[in-house]
Amino acid sequence: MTLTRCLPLLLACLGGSLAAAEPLPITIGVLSHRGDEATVRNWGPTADYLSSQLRGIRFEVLPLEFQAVEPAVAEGRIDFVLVNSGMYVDLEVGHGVTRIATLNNRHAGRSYNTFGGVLFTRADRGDLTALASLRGQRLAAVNRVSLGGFQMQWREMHAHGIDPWRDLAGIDFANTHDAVVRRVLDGRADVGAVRTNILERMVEDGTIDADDVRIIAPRPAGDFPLRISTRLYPEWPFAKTRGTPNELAQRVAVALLQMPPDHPAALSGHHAGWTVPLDYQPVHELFQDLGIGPYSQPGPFTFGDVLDKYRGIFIAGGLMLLVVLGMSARIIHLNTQLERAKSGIERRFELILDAVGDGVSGVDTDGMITFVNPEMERLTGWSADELIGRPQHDLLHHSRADGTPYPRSECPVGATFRENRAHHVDDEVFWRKDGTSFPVEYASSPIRDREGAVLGAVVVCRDVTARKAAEEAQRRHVTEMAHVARLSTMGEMASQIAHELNQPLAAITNYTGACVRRLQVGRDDPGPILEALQLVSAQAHRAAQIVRRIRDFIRKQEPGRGPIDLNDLVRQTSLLVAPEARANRVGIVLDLADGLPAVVGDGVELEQVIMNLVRNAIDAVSHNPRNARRVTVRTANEGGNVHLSVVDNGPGMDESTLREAFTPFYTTKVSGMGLGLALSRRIVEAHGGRLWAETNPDEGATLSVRLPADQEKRDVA
Amino acid sequence: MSREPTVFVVDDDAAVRDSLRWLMDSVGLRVAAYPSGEAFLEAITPDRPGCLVVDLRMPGLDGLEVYQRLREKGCGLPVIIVSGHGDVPVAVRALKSGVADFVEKPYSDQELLDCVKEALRRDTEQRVHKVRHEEIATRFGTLTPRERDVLHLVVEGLANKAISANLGISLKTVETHRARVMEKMAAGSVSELVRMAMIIENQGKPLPY
Repeated sequence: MTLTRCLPLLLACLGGSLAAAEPLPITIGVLSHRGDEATVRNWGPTADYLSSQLRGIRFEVLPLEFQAVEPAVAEGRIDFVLVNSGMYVDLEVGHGVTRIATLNNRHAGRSYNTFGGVLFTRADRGDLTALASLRGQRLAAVNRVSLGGFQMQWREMHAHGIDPWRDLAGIDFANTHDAVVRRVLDGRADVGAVRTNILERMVEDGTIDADDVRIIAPRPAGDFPLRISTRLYPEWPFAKTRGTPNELAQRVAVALLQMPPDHPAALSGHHAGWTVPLDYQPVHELFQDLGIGPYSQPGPFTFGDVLDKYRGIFIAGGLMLLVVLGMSARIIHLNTQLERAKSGIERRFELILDAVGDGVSGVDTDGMITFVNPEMERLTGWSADELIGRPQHDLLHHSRADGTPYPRSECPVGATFRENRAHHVDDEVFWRKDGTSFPVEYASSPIRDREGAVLGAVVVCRDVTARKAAEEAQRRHVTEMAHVARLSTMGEMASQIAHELNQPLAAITNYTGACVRRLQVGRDDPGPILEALQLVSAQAHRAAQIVRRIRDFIRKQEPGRGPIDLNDLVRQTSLLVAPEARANRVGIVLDLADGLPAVVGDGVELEQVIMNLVRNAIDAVSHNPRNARRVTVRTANEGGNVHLSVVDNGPGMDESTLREAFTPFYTTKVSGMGLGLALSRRIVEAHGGRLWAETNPDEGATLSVRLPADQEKRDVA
Repeated sequence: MSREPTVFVVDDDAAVRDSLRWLMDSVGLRVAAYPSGEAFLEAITPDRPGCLVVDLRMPGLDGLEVYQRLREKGCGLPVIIVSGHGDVPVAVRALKSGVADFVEKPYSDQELLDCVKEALRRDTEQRVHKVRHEEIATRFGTLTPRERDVLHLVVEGLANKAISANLGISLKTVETHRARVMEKMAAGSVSELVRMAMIIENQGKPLPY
């Protein structure tokens, strides 16, 4: 043992009585997906590294199983958390954790910060090749919330119409990647799901033989060096929990970013240091696709769904009723016993309502509350006694979200029994006793008697604060990403823009130079001088226009929505990209339809979409012979929709490019983030439209956008 | 065709073209402006003196291509290429291929005018030089073969006696030929004759026999 290693021990012994003075260690909770021992071995050195970088602070690693992560964060037992990207997104929305760095992974001497999932089988299972062949097979996966060890593969199966819960023979969650691999090799499972680089690492350390396993449905992944069956996602983030001071988080982030790729801590973690936190949008999309994590929502629900959901309880209740009825038939004369049984049934139905996780209340045809369950009391802050017998609308529903009065005549609950049909609402608020409100999704169904006459309504409601917050965070995120992408687009175009600005500046220089020289030699006839000054003014205006167009484009703004003339946007955009088109000698043809209806949306973001499509097209044709580089932007009115297409005569897109074009980080270009098309599609979809790519039958490719026309404008027209 | 030097301006940007016309006019230069390299090449002939100011980036022919086509047409007009920022590699290529000058935007008007004046000066010089060369070549063409032999040997510095021995003719005949050569070439001295020979040789061609 060296002196430097002894010293702290020595100090610790001496300081035994001073133990209280030593600060509590800072805890890094680490997902222990390959077992606790491996976790401490892999990440302990990172904690040591941080302790050495941030003097006076001691860091330690706490291995956490999948199920233990969320409680540890919720109870504030850890200061930093290092988990997979999926759990991170969940914790971000649910517990306010914030990423401060993203892992750079290492393989074969290269570093990269994305990863994916692998589906594999034993090499001798020749019957398992495509995703479709997984039906009826037994799957070993890491954990229900493992991103690379289950959810990514789930998304690919989902995309191929396979529901793993229904169509597979079964799913075993083995909890660690190594256990998944063992189960497949043992034959206890047919197929395994692990993250990329697990198989490669196990081959490297000799645990398995490369010929033992075969990848199912392998995907080409550009220059991603590992075998993969799914899309790519950003690597694990290092995140701070809500209670951790920002100042500490900043110091940790700086220390992590400064960790050299070949530092012993990086080597033992099998990674290549850390990078600035990435965009976790692809993970959000996965969750949205699968309707899990922060996006879990069973969709519109009805009282019927509640019955369905709590079927067991209802069946039990129903059976009890039958038993009681049988008894009552046999011992009808024992009235007291019957009474007791009846109250038992009532009690049981009460228990059912108590057990329901949604708020349930009954309303009679006068709008008075007849019953509520405890969840309803919890949601509204009113007790059952305060609610029952009082008007539902006036108590819970008196104002809209913006605080304006909500007339009783417009209340959907009232409409339920007036119109004798169910109403589903997901964009209103309920008001609590303390005067606050919460966003609510509710279903109001009529209650009818045996003859079908309406007695009132049952309202089943749910607090959707968390879901709305996730949606809002998501929307803000797209806006921010869009802004960053606009800045980066302008950066790429900087030299063309400089050229464009140089034209009016050169003209101004020349005109003013001419005036000065004429005046110097006495050619001071005011006519020509005046004319030249007017020309100067026009050129100054031209320069100002260019600056304004750029400023409008990169402006960071709150998403605004208004009627937009797509033809105007196309003309604006073509002016912005004109210098780049000229530099690449590409002719841009505008073929714009007359009388195009407006669309509703955010002009800056839609302009960004058009810009992105046109710049991609310019890029696509830039290898054509010089006089055959053509990009056409066309708009058309298609009954209720506005259609925009960008047609190029480049090489077109091959099958794999067509499939991958909209995947984040996918790019065939040397420069650029590879986010353009993915982001464009998100923007278009946020406008209720569609964006798709096709290869043209003759030459080149067409990117098309379809947006719904503005209803009001069309009606006027 | 006028013999007065003209500044030819080629730029696809109407405002830049027009403003250059104003600038040149303000210092009393003749200007002819064209919206494209093609239009300019159509109009230009080798006998027109002046210089060319051409934008590097244009649709159709770019500045360098206009320069190359101009030379292919046998026009020695000095060329000033105007470029935007960041075209350094193109600039290097241009200078290597012998373009007279390269002005980067944004430029000052004085800088551009200086370049233009320098180009015009060089054009005039080239043309004077060319006229002189043509005169000498014409005179040289009037010499008989024997007189050319004598001229070559005189230029090499041989005395009449050595020439006589070299060509196997009498000293008297050499003297006669020599006098005729001096007269036909309008050379006042042997050193002037040597300069004329050098002018012809400097054009890269050996003296014709």
